[in-house]
Amino acid sequence: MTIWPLETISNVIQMLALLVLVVFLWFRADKTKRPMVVKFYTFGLFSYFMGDLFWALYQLLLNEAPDGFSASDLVWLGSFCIFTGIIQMLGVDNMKQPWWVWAVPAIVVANAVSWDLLWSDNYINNGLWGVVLTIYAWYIAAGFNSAGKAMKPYYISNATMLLVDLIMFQSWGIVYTIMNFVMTANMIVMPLLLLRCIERDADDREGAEQ
Amino acid sequence: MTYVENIFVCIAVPLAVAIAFTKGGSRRFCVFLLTGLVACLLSAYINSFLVSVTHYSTSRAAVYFTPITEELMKLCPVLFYFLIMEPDSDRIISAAVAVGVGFATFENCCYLITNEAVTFSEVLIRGLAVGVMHTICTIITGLMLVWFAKYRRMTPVFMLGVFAIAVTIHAVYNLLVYVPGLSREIGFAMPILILAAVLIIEKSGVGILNDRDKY
Repeated sequence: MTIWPLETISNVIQMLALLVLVVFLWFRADKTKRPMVVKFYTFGLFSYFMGDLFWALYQLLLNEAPDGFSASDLVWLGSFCIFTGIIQMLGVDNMKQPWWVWAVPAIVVANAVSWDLLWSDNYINNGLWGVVLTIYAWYIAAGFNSAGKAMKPYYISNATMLLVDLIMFQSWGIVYTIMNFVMTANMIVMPLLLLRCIERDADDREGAEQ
Repeated sequence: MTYVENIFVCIAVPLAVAIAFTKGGSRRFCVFLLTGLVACLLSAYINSFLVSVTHYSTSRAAVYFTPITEELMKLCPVLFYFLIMEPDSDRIISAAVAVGVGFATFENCCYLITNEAVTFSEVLIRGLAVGVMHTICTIITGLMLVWFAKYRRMTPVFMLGVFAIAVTIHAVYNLLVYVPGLSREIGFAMPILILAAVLIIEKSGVGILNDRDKY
């Protein structure tokens, strides 16, 4: 009797967790203070789920990982764009940002260049990932800087997701699989934090107005 | 040998005549049906070009880039209509349906003419699988456009997400059908199951159409 490789198990667990979260958030959204933000976030998670689905099916059916730019990459990039859009919806001030807000995307750029130079010759795929994650990184930093105290934990969970993703690009084997489990844990925590932060932020605003 | 352009002319000319003699919603539907045919023809050209450039096999191309080109070609007319004409939600959905039906019709006609020995059961599976899959992908795109209509500033970001989801549904279908056995049977059933799920969600009042006037 054989069992699936650990990487496939981690992908399937992530997929199931995302599916449960998508259903939960879709029905929970209407009870929150910002239902459209939560629904768009659910859409982002669903995109990520679709990427996992394609990746896991490809591995299970063809016994290899997709090579080059696949549907998974496209839909994962789409989900990161949606997460970026949600930060924009939550409100990023157009005021002049401090230097460290620009330092965060600079780290991502350095990381993306190192994938290309050290590990891979898939320049188009890595380039696209680099651009999307760099923009995401800037929005996380700018959002963290602009947000009130109540919203900050949500941005920290976004930063954790970005960090784990960057590590996954530079890792393979057991480290990659462990990071995939960490990513799953973060993806479970992130929407719950979003729900809590939205409620607290709305309460803070109401309190300030009174 | 029958050229795809010949099949295109045979289907497109009656539709073009219909456009001249109809009005309102019927004319719009015919226009988008014809647009679906054109989208299918153009994506056939692009796919052939990409296969010759990348030297991918047809099955590998079907998993990697065919879904991207086909969904992009179907999305473009619907997106153009949404952004330029600013139609109401019912019109967006009927435009998306017509583009998907036109695309699927042309692809199925080409399949039938190039594979003369297909049995009725194969034709039925083809119609219910690929035919429904193309239509459901564009319906999902249309539903998402209705959903995002109030957030126009975010359209570029969310459109990428919508496009990516349509591509992935298409790619998952192609991947499942590529491997013989149970996987292929699940693949053939997948479009009908997704269609049933979308219908149940929308009719039960928890879907996207329910949200359009809510917020």
